[in-house]
Amino acid sequence: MGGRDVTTTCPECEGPVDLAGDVRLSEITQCPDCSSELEVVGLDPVKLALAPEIEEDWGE
Amino acid sequence: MSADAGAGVELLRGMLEIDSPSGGEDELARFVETALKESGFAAYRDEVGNVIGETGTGGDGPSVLLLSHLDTAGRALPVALTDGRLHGRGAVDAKGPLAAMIRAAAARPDFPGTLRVIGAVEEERLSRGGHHVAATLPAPDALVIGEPSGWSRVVLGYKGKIDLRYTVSRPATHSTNPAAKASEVAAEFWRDLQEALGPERDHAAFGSPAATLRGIEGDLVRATLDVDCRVPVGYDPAALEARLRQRLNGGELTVVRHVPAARVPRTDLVVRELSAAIRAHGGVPRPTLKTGTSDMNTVSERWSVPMAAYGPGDGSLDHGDDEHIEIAEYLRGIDVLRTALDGLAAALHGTATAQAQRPETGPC
Repeated sequence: MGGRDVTTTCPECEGPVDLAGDVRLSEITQCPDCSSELEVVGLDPVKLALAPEIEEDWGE
Repeated sequence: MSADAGAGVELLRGMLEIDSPSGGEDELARFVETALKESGFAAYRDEVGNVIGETGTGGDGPSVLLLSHLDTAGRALPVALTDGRLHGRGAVDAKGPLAAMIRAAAARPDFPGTLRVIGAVEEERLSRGGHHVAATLPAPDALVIGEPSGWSRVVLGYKGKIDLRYTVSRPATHSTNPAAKASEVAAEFWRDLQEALGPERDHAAFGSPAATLRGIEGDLVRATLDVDCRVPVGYDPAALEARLRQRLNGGELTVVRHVPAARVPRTDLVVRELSAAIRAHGGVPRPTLKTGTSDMNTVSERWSVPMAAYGPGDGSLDHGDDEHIEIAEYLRGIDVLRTALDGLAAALHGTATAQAQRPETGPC
């Protein structure tokens, strides 16, 4: 708990993205510049990727 | 195949060999209770027939619930293992996901809290088991609903459901009498209902309502329709009912059941840990919204906790005559659940410890 804050780069617009302490894999955040939804896909160093689009499907 | 994988396949095969339609789950529940005990769980049946297994270190640690169901929909199917596929009724909906949850939890006896696996009764009917679970057990800190999302998908939500019954009668007469017969009035009501749902109605879209004519019976004198409407988040069932009551044409309308839609944000803790686990096993997580309904709808009426639905299996095979699960898919689902349980334990244990240590600040 209480890891250090991290600033990394948006893979879409290359703007800065701040992540507060204790970053976790698959955490979702939003780029403050381009509003892209981003997923944490690496921790050392912290790496972001565009979060997969939400799909829709029938059934249970 | 490893001994662990073989044991997982045997568990699922044993479950498939027991027919368990809604209301007839008792034999399967006894089988699952025994399997849970043999795997190290403390297991019991509750008042409505749900089977519950508990493991972990207990104490003040977090609680995680894995909730799936025992009952199946559709006719019984022969059980066969061919070409890496296990065939049988419930292979995907939802004995595969339930068996995967049992195998995953059984591998985590040192879970730092309470880890429960529940096979609920009557999910395919009126969710009697799910309602009882939510009414009688404390809300968990995290919940996974066991449904066949596919090993690399995480389900964030389900549409809601409104079950309707329309009944109409007309005087007996000759079929050539120009007056509308009961059967014709009922058919007209079905058209009116679809119109009342609006032009955007669509079973393939999470954000739109849609209806299915589940049953129709009758003749010139009396006719009955059974309809299920699937509705999006925030849908107003009273407004739909009011619109339909203006089009009854002498018939009677009964709202049999209403279950609201359920939806969690993609930032949800359980979504995150399942997604991370899918990546850890080489997949790309596919967040998904489903247009059906599950016990996620049922329990989220009472519990506002992190949750998502997950389970191995191709959901397009639900209730069909070719229901089967790929063994590789099933085993990957178990691996993903084990990894997700580790992630949830790590994420929640610190929280639970902090809460246990936090002094009470409220009024005495």
